[in-house]
Amino acid sequence: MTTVQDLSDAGRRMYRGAFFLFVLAEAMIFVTLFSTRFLLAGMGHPAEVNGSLGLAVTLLLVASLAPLFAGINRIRAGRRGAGMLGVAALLGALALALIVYDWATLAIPVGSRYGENYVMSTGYHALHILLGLTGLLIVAGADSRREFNAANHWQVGAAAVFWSFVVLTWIALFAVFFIF
Amino acid sequence: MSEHSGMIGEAAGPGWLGHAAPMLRAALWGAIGFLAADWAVAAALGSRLGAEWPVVTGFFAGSTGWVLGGGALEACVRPWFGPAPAWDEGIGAGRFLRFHSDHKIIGIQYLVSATVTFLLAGLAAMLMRLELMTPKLDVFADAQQYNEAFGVHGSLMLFAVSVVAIVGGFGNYFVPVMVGADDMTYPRLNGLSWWFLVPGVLAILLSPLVGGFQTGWTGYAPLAAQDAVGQDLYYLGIFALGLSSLFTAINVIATTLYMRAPGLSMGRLPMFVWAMLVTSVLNLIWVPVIGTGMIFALADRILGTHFFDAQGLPLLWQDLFWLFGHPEVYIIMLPAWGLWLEIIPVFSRKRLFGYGWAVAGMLGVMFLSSYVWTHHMFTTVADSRLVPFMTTTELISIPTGFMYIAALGTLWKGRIRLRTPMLYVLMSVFNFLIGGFTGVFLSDVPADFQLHNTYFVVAHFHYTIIGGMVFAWLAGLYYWFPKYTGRLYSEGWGKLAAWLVFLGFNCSFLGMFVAGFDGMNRRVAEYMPYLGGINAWISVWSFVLGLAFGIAILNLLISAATGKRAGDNPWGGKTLEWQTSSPPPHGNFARPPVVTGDFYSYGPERGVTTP
Amino acid sequence: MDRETRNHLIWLCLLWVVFSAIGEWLVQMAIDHWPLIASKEGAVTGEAIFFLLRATAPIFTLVVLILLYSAIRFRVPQDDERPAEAQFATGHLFIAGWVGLSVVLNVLFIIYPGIYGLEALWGGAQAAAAADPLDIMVTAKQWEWDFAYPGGKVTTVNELVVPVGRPIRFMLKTEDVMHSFWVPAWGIKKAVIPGETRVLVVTPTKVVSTSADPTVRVQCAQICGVGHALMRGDLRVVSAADYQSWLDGKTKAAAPAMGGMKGMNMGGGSSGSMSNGMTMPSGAATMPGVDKSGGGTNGMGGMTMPGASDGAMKPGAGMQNGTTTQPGAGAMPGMDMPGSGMGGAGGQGTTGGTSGGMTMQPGTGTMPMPGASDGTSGN
Ligand code: HEM
Ligand SMILES: [Cu+2]
Ligand SMILES: [Cu+2]
Repeated sequence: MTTVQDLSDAGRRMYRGAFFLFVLAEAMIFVTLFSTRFLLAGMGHPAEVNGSLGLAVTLLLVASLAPLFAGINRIRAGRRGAGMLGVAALLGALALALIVYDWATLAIPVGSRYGENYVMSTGYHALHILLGLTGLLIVAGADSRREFNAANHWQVGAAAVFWSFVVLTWIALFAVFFIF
Repeated sequence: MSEHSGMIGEAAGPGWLGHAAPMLRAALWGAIGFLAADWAVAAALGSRLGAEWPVVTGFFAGSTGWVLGGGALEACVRPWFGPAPAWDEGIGAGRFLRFHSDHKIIGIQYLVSATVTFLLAGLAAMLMRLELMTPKLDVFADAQQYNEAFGVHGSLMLFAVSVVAIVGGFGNYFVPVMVGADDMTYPRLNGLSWWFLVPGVLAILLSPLVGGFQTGWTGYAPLAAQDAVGQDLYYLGIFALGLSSLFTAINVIATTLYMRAPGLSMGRLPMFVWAMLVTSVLNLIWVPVIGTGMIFALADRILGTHFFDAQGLPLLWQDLFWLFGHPEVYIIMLPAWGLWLEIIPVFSRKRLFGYGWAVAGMLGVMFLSSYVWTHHMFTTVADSRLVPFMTTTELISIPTGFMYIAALGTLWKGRIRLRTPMLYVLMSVFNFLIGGFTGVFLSDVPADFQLHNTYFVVAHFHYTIIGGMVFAWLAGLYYWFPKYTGRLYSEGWGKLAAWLVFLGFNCSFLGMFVAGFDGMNRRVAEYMPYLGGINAWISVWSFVLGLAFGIAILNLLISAATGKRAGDNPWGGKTLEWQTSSPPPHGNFARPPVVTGDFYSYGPERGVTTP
Repeated sequence: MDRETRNHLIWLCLLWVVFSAIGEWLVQMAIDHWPLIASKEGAVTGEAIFFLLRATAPIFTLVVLILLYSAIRFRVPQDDERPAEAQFATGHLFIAGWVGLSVVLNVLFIIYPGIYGLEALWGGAQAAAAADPLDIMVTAKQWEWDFAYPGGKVTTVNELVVPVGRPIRFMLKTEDVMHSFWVPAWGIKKAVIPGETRVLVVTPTKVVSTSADPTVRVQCAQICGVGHALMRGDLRVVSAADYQSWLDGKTKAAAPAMGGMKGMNMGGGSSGSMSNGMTMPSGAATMPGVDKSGGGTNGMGGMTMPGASDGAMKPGAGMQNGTTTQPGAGAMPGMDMPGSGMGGAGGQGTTGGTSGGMTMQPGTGTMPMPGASDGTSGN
């Protein structure tokens, strides 16, 4: 993605569609993680889980979707979206920081069935947040170097799809670990 | 920087050092990465170099160094951070020794690495059979070594040969050509996939250096928790191989869905491409599951969690493993079926019979294969799971049978030319029939209660994997040899080797059924003396088999250097890969092909494909 | 159908009949020379194998025949590139026949020998549980088989002696990794899973021994480490009288060393009292749910605690009357019992019954079933 490739419509459709294959594969990871959590730890969660922190992460991540879509819309309209993407990344980074803080202050025994699943799933998810952030920052950087235009910006779309996936899986994770 | 992107040695011209420079740099960076991380972590923790954390971090650092050193740094990473000079993709032999994004180069890289891995893992098998010549331990120093040997043999054969040789080799090389595309959807991701393969192979191959693993390729917990550090390398190696498969799967699906030539509707798709597509869907869905399972298991060992030990659920590992592991056996077999149905019409000079049935069969297998995994656990699971999974398992033989409908229907009244590839295909059809019928025995729960974990099982899966997949792979190697080398192989040696492989294989592995019936359990270095006779028989024939594989592969190597020029289409094939030069140029076709008919029409009255 | 096709088909049919007959003859030879089958269960699993051999031989022959017939009969020189005359893409009769036959055969195989054989095994085990089974506790560990006989005084290592003709209920436990209990001549095996007790019922039908026939041996059939291959034990199937005198002799020999062990009721003995004491519902040994599901696991986890499983089956390890949870057994340090919330899953159906059997072993602690947990909390 050094320079804007002038793709045909078919080419753009291909990159857009093919990217969902990544997302599908990633989704299988979370299917495995979440079903393992119920198989091993049953329903219910210990009282010690930091629910307000979980909620805060959820809100931050959901909130990050607004600048994300604003950024894309600007690029789609031929303007620069890097700033907005940067804001989305910032919110994501805050969420990540909260998760790290949560680990540092974890009250749930990591050796318990729930605890190890909690750490494993949030850890895997944090890795995805990190990946998503990297993606957002890369496209934001490229955009600030004016590498996209109104027609050709499938990379931005891909980063946005991945980030949305990260947010959605966190919502699922929140339900699986904090609500059930 | 010059056009040659400043590679050391490039300036010296295309000498061997210039050709191999990126690969050497990769090896160097890989070694440095491994050693540095290994040493640093060991020093930080005050542990041995061969301890768990040093080795695990060493693996990550080493793999990263290897992948980046091969050229991924310049080709994949650097461009994300602003304009960068293009990565020099080399010329001649050098193209194969560096990060390359051309699917044909990658296909050859895969074929070569799969062949080398096949020979290495085969060597382990030869040692194992030598050990089993006699009831007592005499070749290996102890049972531990034997256990490590079958672990390395099985894991490499499955994860780095069976699921890779056809998909990574032919899939990469021929799917784009057969759909009339110039390359895959994500060429650089494709290039990366091979570079991830190599650390995976090395991790498993070298695991005995840090104690190996005794669990075989299935890694059952909680024995895995007891094993030496080699077990960590098993998880990491398979994880890396899984990533590699995943990248290929994404590319194959995307390429098939989005890059077909004009006129090439899904209903005209060649059988091999169908097989690759279906296989890739299975890979895409199930590889992440086993990858996650590997992470769980690794955490059990290095982070002290209890997912799969007695405090957790030992059976959960088995479920996760076989949830992937069973689809995997179809990931192995589907490509082989694709090759059958590609080669049979060409050498029967006859229209493919029951195209729709064959496609339906592949799809049926794809769906069903995800619902049968418990048949590997009949002696370990709750009784309530037995009947449902017996049912699904037996039912899968119905769509599998559709491949036979197509194969036999096409052969019937054809004009059959028994050239080497065709010979291998017919042998594969025969062998897989034995593999399939013995599968019916194992899917029958009462019978499996006796046969499970015996040599009957060993014989069964070798009949499907060697008999089915390896024979088909050899068929493909010979069939497409003129295409990817531009030369003809020696027909006489080819046929001789084929018959030797067939003889050696059947004589030795039929014997394993007998050993199983007689009460020989698997994964043992020593057995009771009454089993001595049959084991000596098996071993002797397996040496014949090993030799025969050697001849078959040597024939290809020699022919690649000395064979006669092949021309574009020596077999009179109709699919697109035969409509371009041998080997195809960069971009595959001089002019973009247009498909006007189906690929399996041989009658003069039928429409043909015009590129 | 043209004349030529008819000729092909007639030939195929003829050859098929001939080769199927040869195939059946070979199968019969194999069955006649079959290794020993020395239990009721082995007869069931063996019959399943025999039936499948007999039934698949002609089908296998048919497919191979079509393959070989085509390869030989329709062969042309290898550089003859002319297209075949017949260029059909489908053949309804062939396809319909194939699909129909494969569906019918599949359904048949699922019912017989599949479900039928399973029912025979389950039914036999159920009947055995109701009748007078001999309970033998089997503890697998790296790398030996420990057997504890009814009466609680006799244990053997890598040596199993059982009476012929009477159902034997093996209670299978492991102290470390997974193993698998298999006697080839008995024709059945069962995995031994950490943290669980599995039950396998076998009724020996022949008086044999390892020295007479090596397929009569206890063999671990699941890779369990370095000693896996040699993790096998001698097996002697003897008459009921011989068994009793063997047991009596062993009991006497063991008695002096076992002062204070009176009142231990480890197995039911021939009186069958154990089954009652254990409150094991009849059929518990055999029916679905024997292995843990869901939450059951968590409680079981306690069993691998240091000292928890150790000596479970060994006399002298401080056994009390095994029928109820003894003081202290439930107080395993660090045992993480998710309480009755999990008990629901673990205790459902017959799982509870099986687990109940384990409460009599010291150190196994509480079971994740409501009843057992209650008993524990009372301590
Ligand atoms: C040269 C021919 C080969 C010989 C003589 C051979 C022999 C053996 C032997 C003796 C075992 C140990 C069986 C046991 O005790 O469980 C084994 C295991 C295995 N082999 Fe092969 N093998 C050959 C080729 C292959 C090939 C080509 C594949 C797959 C592509 C393969 C896949 C496996 C697997 C998956 C296992 C199971 C390992 C385990 O128990 O974890 N083998 N083979
Ligand atoms: Cu399977
Ligand atoms: Cu074992």
